[in-house]
Amino acid sequence: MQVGRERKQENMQSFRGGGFPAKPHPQDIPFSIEELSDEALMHALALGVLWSLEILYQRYARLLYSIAYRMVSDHQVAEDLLQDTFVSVWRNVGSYSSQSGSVRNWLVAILRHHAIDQLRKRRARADFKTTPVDELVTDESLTMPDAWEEAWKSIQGTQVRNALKLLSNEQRMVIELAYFQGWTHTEIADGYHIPLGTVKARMRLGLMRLKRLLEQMGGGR
Amino acid sequence: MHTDWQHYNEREKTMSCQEMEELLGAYALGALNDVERKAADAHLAECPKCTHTLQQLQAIVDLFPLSVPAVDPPPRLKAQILARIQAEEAARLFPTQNAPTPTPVYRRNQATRWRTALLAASMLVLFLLLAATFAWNISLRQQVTQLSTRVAPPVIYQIHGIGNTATVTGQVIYYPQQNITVLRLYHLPALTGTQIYQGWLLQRQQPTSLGILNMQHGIATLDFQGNLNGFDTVAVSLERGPMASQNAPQGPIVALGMLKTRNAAGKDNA
Repeated sequence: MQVGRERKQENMQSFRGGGFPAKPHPQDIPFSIEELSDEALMHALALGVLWSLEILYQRYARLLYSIAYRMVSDHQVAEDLLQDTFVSVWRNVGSYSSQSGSVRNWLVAILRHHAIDQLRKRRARADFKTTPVDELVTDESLTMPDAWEEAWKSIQGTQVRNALKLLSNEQRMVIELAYFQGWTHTEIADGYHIPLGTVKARMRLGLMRLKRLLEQMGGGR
Repeated sequence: MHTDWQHYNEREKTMSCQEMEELLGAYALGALNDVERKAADAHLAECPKCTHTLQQLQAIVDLFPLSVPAVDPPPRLKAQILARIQAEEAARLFPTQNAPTPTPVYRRNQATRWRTALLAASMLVLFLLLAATFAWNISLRQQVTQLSTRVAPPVIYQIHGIGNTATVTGQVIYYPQQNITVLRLYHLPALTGTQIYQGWLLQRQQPTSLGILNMQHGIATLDFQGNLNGFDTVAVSLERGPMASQNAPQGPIVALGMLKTRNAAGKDNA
């Protein structure tokens, strides 16, 4: 504890295996700690290393904010959701297990959990008003010509988006309501006066059709 | 036939594959209620066929985030999030201050409240930092007094393996009297060819090499004259060798240890 950083550098010249180089300029570093895998960052986070959360933020904030905004259509609420998501990650990092899926999917699941809570409260306040079907299936973000591609340079994302456009309006509607609006299948059946079995079938068949379409495009897993 | 699984009772009825198949799309989309999900989970735990089909549908659902038009969060948000976490940590480490834990509030047009809350949080953090600095100063004085009468104990930090080397354990120990730091790791995978294990100290994200670890009887060790002041993390990387990598790791990080840990009592070990 008595030795400061400068003197420690001097002391470390005698280290085995090549000594202790002078502190390099950041631009000279060929490897950045930012290249650590997501799993390694989660491990560091579990030890309380705050910079690992910063790196996760740099990697996923844009994706998570985009999903949040897609779900709630409100920048202020989307900011709150992103903030709550990363605070939850910091508090609950111990609950993450690499065996249960990727870090990205875990982060998305946390964000959706917060967003769905928020949407349910909003729906309760609005006395469960349904969005007109026409409004859902003509969602601008799905039908807008390729302007979004300028901002989102993901080939896989493009394929998923194109595949979603190829679904029937009915299938896309139930998938949209369930994934991006947090509705359960019974809520969709009640809200839109569709038999529950029909909602289940549209969800299942819609996803299976998406799987086939993505395989044809070469983008499925 | 569509069973109403909202009234599912585990003891009375189990779900068939056909009934599960009908629910798979809703399950993958997260559109089941808790009772239905519990019934589905019970079936999936014993049915590899339905589990396989679900995994295929889940893989498609997991791609949905990529389809969302990109929207950038405001640049200030990162600093706000880190400040909130640091404020919560400070409140946790100094509970006697009765610092209020920030709670999320969902309301529109609350920019003014946010600014006020941020200002209050900033002032709280500043106050806590000043208090901590004062306490640290007092603590240092006490340490000087104690060092003149007795030998200071070694300072120990734990190191853990990550990823494929999760079983690795170890410690980095600083001996104040000798002013020596020793790094020791167990259960590291055996090296092949010219590979080496190399130690690193990090201050935020800037790595500084400690050199090559010495492997003997399955135990990797490295010692050096000096302490760990100014660093927040110790790391070990697997390098191609035979020479130590310069400036920064070229191979994967296999173990990490924090040099300022949060212990069970919520106290700072550094």
